[in-house]
Amino acid sequence: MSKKETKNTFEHSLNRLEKIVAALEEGEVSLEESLKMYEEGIHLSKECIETLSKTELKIKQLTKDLNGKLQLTDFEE
Amino acid sequence: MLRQRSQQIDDLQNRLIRNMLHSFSIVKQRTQFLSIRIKSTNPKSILKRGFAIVRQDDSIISSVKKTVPLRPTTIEFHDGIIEAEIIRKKK
Repeated sequence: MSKKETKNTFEHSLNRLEKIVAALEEGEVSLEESLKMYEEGIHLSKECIETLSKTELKIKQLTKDLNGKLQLTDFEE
Repeated sequence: MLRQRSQQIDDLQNRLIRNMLHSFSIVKQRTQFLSIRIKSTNPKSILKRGFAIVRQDDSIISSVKKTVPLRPTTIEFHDGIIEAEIIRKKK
């Protein structure tokens, strides 16, 4: 999968997760449907967090100091 | 001239790193926030308050009218599922 495809998949998953959360918070969904959506939402959430972790690691690896040495950069929380 | 260019590259590099970290931080916050929110919408959390989910033929039954006596029935509580049998409907 290309970098662009990965980004689109991540964005797609995150947008879908956002829609699921909004629908469930609204409370207009039937119990049966809400159970399905919740399951999908949890799966998407785990997927996105995993992608983020990998990306974070990659960013750290790519950050180099001026001499080309690897420099681990901490993220501000 | 060379020094100027070198400085320019340094500046661009710093900006690149800063922008990348900032963009990533925004996406990370959004993702983390959604993760917290999705967990709080668990439909089964209401079971802890004493509600139960009744199913017949693996479909959720939400009305007495939709129940069929003697058909295999399950009732899901917050701590497990039991098999049950509907004898008759009360009028």
